[in-house]
Amino acid sequence: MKKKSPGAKLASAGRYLYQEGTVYIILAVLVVFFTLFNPVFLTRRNLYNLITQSTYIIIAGMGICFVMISGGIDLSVGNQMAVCGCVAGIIMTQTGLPFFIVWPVCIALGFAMGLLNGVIAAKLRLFPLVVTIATSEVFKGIAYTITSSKSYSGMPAAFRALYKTKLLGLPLDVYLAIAVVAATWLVLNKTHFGRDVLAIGGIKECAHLSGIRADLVQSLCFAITGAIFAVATLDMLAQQNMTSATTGPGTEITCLTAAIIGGISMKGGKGNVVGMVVGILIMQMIANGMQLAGWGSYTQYTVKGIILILAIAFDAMKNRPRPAVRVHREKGEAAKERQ
Amino acid sequence: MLKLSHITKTYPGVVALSDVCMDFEQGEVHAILGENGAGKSTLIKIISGAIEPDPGAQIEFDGRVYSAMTPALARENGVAVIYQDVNLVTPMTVAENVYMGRRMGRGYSKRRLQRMAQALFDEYGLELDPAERVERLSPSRQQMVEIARAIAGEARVMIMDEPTAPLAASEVRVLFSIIEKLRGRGVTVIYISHRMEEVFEITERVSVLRDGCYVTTLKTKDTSRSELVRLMVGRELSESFPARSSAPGEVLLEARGLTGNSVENISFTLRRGEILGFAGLVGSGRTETMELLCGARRMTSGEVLLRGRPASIHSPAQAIDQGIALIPEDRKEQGVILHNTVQFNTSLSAIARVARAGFISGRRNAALAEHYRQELRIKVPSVRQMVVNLSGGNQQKVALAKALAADPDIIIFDEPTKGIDVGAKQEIYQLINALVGQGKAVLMVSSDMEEILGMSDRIIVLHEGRMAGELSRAQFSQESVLRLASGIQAEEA
Repeated sequence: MKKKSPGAKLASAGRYLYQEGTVYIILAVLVVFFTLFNPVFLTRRNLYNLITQSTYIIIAGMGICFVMISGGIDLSVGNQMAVCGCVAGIIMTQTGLPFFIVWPVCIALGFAMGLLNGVIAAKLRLFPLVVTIATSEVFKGIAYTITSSKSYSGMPAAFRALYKTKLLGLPLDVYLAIAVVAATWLVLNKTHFGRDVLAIGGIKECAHLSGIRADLVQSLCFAITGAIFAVATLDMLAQQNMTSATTGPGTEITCLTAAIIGGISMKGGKGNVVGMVVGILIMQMIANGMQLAGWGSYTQYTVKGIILILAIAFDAMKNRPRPAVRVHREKGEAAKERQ
Repeated sequence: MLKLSHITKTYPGVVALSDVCMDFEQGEVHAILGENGAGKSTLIKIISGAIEPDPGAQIEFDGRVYSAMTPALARENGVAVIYQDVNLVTPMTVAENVYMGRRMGRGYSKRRLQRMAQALFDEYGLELDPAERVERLSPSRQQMVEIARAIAGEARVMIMDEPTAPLAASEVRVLFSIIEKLRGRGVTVIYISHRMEEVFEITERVSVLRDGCYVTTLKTKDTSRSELVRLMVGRELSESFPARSSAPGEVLLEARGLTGNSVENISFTLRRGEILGFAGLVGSGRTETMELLCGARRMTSGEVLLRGRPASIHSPAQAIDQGIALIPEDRKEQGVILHNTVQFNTSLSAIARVARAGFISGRRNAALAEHYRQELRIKVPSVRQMVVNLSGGNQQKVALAKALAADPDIIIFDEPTKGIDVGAKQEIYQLINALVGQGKAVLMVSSDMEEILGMSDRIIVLHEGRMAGELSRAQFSQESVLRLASGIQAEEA
């Protein structure tokens, strides 16, 4: 293999930024915007808040990466978080079992819930969207039942240490988030499994005929998503020190929006982890900016919804075949033309 | 009646058409030939108004001159286009699809619509039931509906882009009689096809495009196949099939009574160094048989012996492990992952060759792709290119590279040259021959009569999911294959 010349490297970086760089441009624009309109924004204190509040969402975002790049979608993750959080909360407040037991139990629980989604979607060949809407209700029911719609607070200090202990001025969970991001990047970009995920997200049929065990990979993607969301839940619990059946739901929309902003296509088969992280930072900055401006959390729902629509529309526009005029045979033709 | 002058179309970095001038007379059947990428599709789209040519172009309809068409203008001038992919509302009936988008006056009546459609079908000799829902029709029938829709529209210029690709032989006859009738009514038919025999059968004039440039227009009866091929590729190229010394070795695969997936009792043997052709009409069960062999579908009974030992093949992964690789018919949905790189696609089935302990080595992956890029002469500047940017022939080579990287003994080609231009076809044939020369065994499904007769050592003909017969080289002829494929002998017996 020839080494690329610096010029060629620069050119390819430029091309990359042009094609995939929207997310970085949005980030830059937002930073400038908030800095100009709110002097508080660029203070150390606010940036610290921004980062520490984002950790569990970033971890959760890595979870959604797997399922979305494999061509699926999981709307039940919010209620999965509720179940995991409630189970962890109940165990710790009621039985006093130590955190190093709670962690594996919750991760296994998340894995199992994800696997359920995956197996139903892959084996029964149902749309993941429909499957996860249904299981979402199931999980919601479980969460309310086991808590009897009570909330639990007062987690043990050893468990909260994840958030309370600081290393180099930042809470431990920031490093946890970095580790999860790095691991996700590594798995998706450098491993056998990661390329199977990309392949089934690209065209499942082709991947299957090429000898990839597509159903297995798809199910595992859902399961991994569930497990990573369990980690995110535990981090959230460590931060907020209280849980109920209503903590968690809503996160899926933030993650989904961030993923689409970050360049993970709804159609699957492509996406990069860094874009996802930046997408989440954008979402968090908007939320943070709205807080600083004194907008209530209810207004934020509306704004998040609008952003989701814009992101999906933009994603669809990017993926639309080139000729703007509607022709009979757009897909095949466009492919033929571009030789 | 239709005159194109100085048509140029440039995309950033590519000249799709360069100063093309062409004219079409009323009531003629005019073929446009050219390799993929020669600019045929672009030209059609300019006529139909889907894309705008660069300034300076003139499109003249009966003396009215336009600098560019729009879809509305094209319709006004009676331009209709039949594309090779069907685009129908499948849950609706045939009649509804044929008259879709047309105002009926006096309210909407399904019955009247069906009467109109039936009259149209009778007039043109189409055997379609107007009340049938489109989703229940076979792909070739759906194509006939597409054709019916185009002729229902009182077109004056009918453009057909590879209309026969999905059609069975008998339906091609129907299409040709439709073309005759259209010609009789003074409709100009612009006919695009890769199949030479069709061009010689029905067209009066032929225009050749090469690399976006207009080469020439000839009267079909004054030219020959070899001349047209030479004009298209710009170099001498024999359309005959490359010679190959056939020396079949030991039996690699034996299929005994394969049943399931809508085929019944298929038995055959395949030897090393042999090409076994599978012929039959569309829907006769050829692809379905291949799906059983490569584990994509379950068989209900029958067994497969590999190298003399019973093999269990329940998934494509198992098939690949045991040395059977498939190059599927539908390149874009099954063969390659279009929106990923050549490199990614090449190693899909051969992950073990580029991975260690689950981690992929980018360097080895690139080296593997590079190896096959050179060996198969895939025309691509870099293995990091997206497959979607390649021509059909090169996409097919990527699918082949993917299969070969898994180091199979048996390679199944399902319609290996469908929608591929003449030059690339030759290359694919040579590659197949080279594989056989290396002692691999090839199963080839093809609807292209010349291809299957020219390439195979033996041919198995299927008819309605069963074996109609097996032909050895000495028995090869178009008639013998067609007789078996249409079930004539079976009925006589």
